[in-house]
Amino acid sequence: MDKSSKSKTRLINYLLVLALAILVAVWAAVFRGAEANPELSSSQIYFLDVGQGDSALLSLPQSTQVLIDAGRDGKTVERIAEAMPFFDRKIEFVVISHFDSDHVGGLDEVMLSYDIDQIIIATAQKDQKEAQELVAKVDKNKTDIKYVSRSDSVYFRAPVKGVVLWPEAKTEGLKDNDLSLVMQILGAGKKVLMMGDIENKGQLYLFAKNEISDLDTDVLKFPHHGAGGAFSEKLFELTTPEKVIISVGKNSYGHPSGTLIDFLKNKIIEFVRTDEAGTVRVGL
Amino acid sequence: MNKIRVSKFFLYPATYILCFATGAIIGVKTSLSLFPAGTVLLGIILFLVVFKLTRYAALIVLFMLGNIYALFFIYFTNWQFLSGCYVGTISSQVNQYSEDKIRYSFSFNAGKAVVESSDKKDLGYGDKVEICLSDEYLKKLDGGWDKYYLSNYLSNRVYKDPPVKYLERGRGFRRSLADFSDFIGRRFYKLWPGDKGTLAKGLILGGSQNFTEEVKEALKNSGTSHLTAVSGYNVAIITVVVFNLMRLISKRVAFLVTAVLLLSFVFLTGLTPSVMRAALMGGAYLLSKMLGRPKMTMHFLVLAGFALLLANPFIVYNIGPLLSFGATYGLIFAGDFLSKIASGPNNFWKIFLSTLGETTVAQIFVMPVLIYYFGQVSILSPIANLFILPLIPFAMFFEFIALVLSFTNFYVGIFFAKLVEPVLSYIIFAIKFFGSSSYAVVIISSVNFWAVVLSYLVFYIAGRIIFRKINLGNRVFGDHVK
Repeated sequence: MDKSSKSKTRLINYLLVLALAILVAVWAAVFRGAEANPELSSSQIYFLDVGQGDSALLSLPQSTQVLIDAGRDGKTVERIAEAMPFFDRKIEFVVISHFDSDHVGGLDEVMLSYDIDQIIIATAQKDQKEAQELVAKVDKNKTDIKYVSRSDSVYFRAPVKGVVLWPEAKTEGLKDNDLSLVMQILGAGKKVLMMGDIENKGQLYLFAKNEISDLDTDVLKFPHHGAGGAFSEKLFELTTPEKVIISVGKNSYGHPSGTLIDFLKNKIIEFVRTDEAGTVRVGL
Repeated sequence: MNKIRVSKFFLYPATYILCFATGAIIGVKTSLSLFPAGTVLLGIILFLVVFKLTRYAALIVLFMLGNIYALFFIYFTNWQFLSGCYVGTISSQVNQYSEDKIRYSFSFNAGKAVVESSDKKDLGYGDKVEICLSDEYLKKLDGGWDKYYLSNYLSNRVYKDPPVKYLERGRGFRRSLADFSDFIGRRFYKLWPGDKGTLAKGLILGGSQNFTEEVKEALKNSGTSHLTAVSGYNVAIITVVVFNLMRLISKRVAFLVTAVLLLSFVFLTGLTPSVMRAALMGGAYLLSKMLGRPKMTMHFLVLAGFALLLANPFIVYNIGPLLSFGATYGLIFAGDFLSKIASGPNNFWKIFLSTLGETTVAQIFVMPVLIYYFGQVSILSPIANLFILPLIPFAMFFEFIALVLSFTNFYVGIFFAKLVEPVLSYIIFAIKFFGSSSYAVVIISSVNFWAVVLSYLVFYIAGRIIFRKINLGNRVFGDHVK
């Protein structure tokens, strides 16, 4: 055998080994994704560690995902990739609580990496400049825009649905944070109440317009990164959560407020902060 | 013996071209007034002609022609417009240059302008638009920014958020290619979400816009910004790797595969000038490998550089072509020598070593340009690059394969992308690790352009001495004296 045919044989051997390695790696990944990982067969919600901002990924059976808010920047997509099955590049629903940059700043990067079927926006925010810019930006052939208001329901994957508790389609005298879309997620096992950045003033409307049974929940995403202006004892009386999530990062606003933390400790309500625990996964 | 060398020296067309190029570069760099300099030079020419040294006289004439060419170019690109609304076309790709701003070049009958807009309309190459230009929208350019715009858009009239009216969608081959290139760029993010996607795209197409702040900062601190800064240097690297890998089969196959890859790359990226320039340089390297005659291809490289300079003398202000020229120069200069001395127990080891050697040489040769352009040096940069660079060619090669596979079947592409992911993760980890300390950065306020030129002369002379010592001088320089 001459030198060149020897090296060709060696090349073929190397390629065969490489092909085998690829095969093993691919199947290992598939098994890890489909069998070993319970996340594909049950519902989970991930409160993503996106720094000072809000983003949560609801993961439902059969690779259905709902992203609630998109954080501040590209960090969100990094966290999403960690929580999604590696072959899945579609987020079925994106719910936007409101258009502050720490809730929608990372949406451009999310849209670059993932196809989105539907974006859900509160009707009360429809005329805001940022909402109109977003609507102009999305590819209408791929993504629907759905406007919702109080008492609307969105079926993510039956029987899991999101019930809109706030805001009304037309709301006078409130703006910004108090118009945050508040959604109760039902049907996945535990109830999850996502509250955006709604503060005390908006919460008064929220409590007045909804039945106590609608507000009762198991997991509460505390509004506005644990700000003192969003805390009231009444909120806890009405929602009675088993677990409270505070989505917060390094900040100069004093979030989360000491009053809130003291209250949770005194009442022995379990709480988790994303700045301390990183991404928080809650099985539903 | 000496006589032979002198006449050989004058046979090289590259010598004449270099004189023209030097004249053009000095013209652009200094905007030298022709009259006093010209008078002196004409005197010297007369002197040389009288004493029958006509070849030297020809060199000076060429130098002056280059100078005149540059000055005319400066004169003709100094557009001044009257306020008013003009109908024209978008004559460059529409780039997103910051989180919420796009930039493109607008050509119309009175000249060229650059438009920066925060109104992210769905615009593309060749679109017919009406833009109202007036001084209230004119952007003041500080520092070297006017040179940046001239080198990229052939205009330094930059208008910020002027009223733009969309008239008609662009058509034709270039537009389709530009759209396709845009599509390719987005595909990287689909295959690798987040920072890994930005890195994957940056390595092949350039751009670091979508990195998280943490990685952006780390890139600066670790002295690795060049990884995603431009495409020229990266094209040179991928040419080396593909050629060396394919050479295992045969030299002809290696040449064909790499040439096809380079051409498809040029088309895939939408015929953007930066990639075309880079591919031209890659072509020079390929030619040197195929012919095995570095000195001849060195002339081709000079010719290619000359063509680029002729098309836009302001190119000397653009880091892209400077990097690709520097890298290719290094590869041709020392590549042949490195592949000769690389030895190992088998072909694979030999190819691995020569690839490593060649990419390192390319890195050394672009270093002066990088320091000049970025104005800062990271103390950790050499170590960071040592840990990162050897993996770059392989990451690029395999991510390119994942990209191509994703067009046959998206999920096949994703599977392959997953296999490349650990490499990308490692690179990002290393960037973050070495970039975590801002104390590692030394800011150099200004580096003189001529110091950069001087450093290349030093490289050249040092190389000449080394090669002579090991009797390779005649291969690279055509020396007949041993």
